[in-house]
Amino acid sequence: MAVTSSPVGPSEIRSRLDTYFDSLLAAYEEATRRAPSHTHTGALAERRLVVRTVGQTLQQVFTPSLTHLPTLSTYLSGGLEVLAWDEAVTGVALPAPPWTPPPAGTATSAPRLTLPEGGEGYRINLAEQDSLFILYSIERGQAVIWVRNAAQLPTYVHSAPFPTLMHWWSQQQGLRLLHAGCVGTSSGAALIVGKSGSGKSTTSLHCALSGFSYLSDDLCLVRTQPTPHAYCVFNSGKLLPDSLARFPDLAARSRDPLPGVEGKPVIFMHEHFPERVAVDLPLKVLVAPRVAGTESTRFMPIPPGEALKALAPSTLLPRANPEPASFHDMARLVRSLPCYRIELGTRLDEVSAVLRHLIEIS
Amino acid sequence: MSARYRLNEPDVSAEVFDEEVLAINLKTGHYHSLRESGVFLWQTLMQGHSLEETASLLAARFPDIAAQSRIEAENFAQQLVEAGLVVEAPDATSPSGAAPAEPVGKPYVSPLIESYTDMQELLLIDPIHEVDVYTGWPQKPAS
Repeated sequence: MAVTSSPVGPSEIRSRLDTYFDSLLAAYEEATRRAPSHTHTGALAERRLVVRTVGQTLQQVFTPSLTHLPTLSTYLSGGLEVLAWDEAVTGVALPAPPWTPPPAGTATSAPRLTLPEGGEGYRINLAEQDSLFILYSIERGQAVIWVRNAAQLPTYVHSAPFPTLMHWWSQQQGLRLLHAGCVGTSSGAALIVGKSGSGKSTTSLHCALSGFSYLSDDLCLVRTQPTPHAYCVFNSGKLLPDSLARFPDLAARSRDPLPGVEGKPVIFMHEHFPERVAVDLPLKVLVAPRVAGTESTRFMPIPPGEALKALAPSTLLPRANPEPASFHDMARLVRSLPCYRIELGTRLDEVSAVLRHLIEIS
Repeated sequence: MSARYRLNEPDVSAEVFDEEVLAINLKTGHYHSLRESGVFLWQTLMQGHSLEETASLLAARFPDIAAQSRIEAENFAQQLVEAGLVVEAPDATSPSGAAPAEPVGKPYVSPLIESYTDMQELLLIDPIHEVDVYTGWPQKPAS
């Protein structure tokens, strides 16, 4: 598609994107003729999520974190269909976009892209050193994903294959993909919020091993209205090797197919501890952990503003086009839940006992 | 004429709690916690009261600091402007609503503004780009 030097209006932008999306669909279809395809279907927040992958390696990257999603006889409207292919396996390249690509190797490593006026019906993402491209059509409820070489995708992509897409989709459904861990009991769940390094993963995974239901250690899908409710999107968990060493049961089951910058092996909880993974739970309490360096664990109530400070910046700011509505929705959430600070001690059994107690009293 | 201000939307979002206002600048990655009398002043200014009106309301609420109420309001507004949280709203008119409630008998404490820039690094490393239909994908600056 030619790039014009004259001004491009919104209707032309829209037209180019419609055409480009169709060319991506055609490329996907071509890929299915060249390599085996696989379809994984499940219910996410009662909506149908269909992930179609072409190439076995890509299937092995995209689906292990989604195996916990149940199938339902009926679904709410607003499902998502993901169509993804692996160029390395199929030989099908990414169709040329309707704008000039930069010279090879000159693109920024993780550009957070937004579309100009006229592109409101689409969302776009280029990630992993130009190795993963997503175009999401909001109206069609479809996303097409091209992967240059699935075998070269780092471990954190295995852990959460397309978080940006899940964020876009959840916005359309009135749901929020939050930077939070989540574990629960039969009484309900605790949302565990805080920046990276605050102890979300250690707390979440320790609690899972202690008999809690597991929903997330990093990204949790939440419905804030009419009552707060959490959904497990990716059943994976990740820990740095030092932390993982404290959990032999997890270390023995962890994988690190291609260590990325994070350096965190992944554990697919549904594969190894299927009875521990919960599809969804009502939220009862919000906790903001902080590594205290003491032996014992303490907790204290915090005002909702403090909880929002722990939740909102790390959820919103990494995104292209963070939405004010998301911020206000998170404020609604912290106002509707009792909020606590947990100062994490080194005796992990105390951490799970405190969390269980807070869920019970909330 | 005494200045009036409005929230710097859509870059900035804010939420008012009982004892804190949390304002986040989605463009810069900075977020700010306003406490003590900053909550009252924020609410008053965001209701559309001018600086002069805000100072009067502050003085009425805290007679002990009436003499310094104007400078307190001005300094506070100046900090908000510098942080990019608010912009002047020359067309705004005087609001009809009442001033925000403040617990009776609570002693005056100057506005406290804590700014957090820990997330800014993320935006600097990974800035947001618009797909440019003329120049294509974002490119690294020439070295």
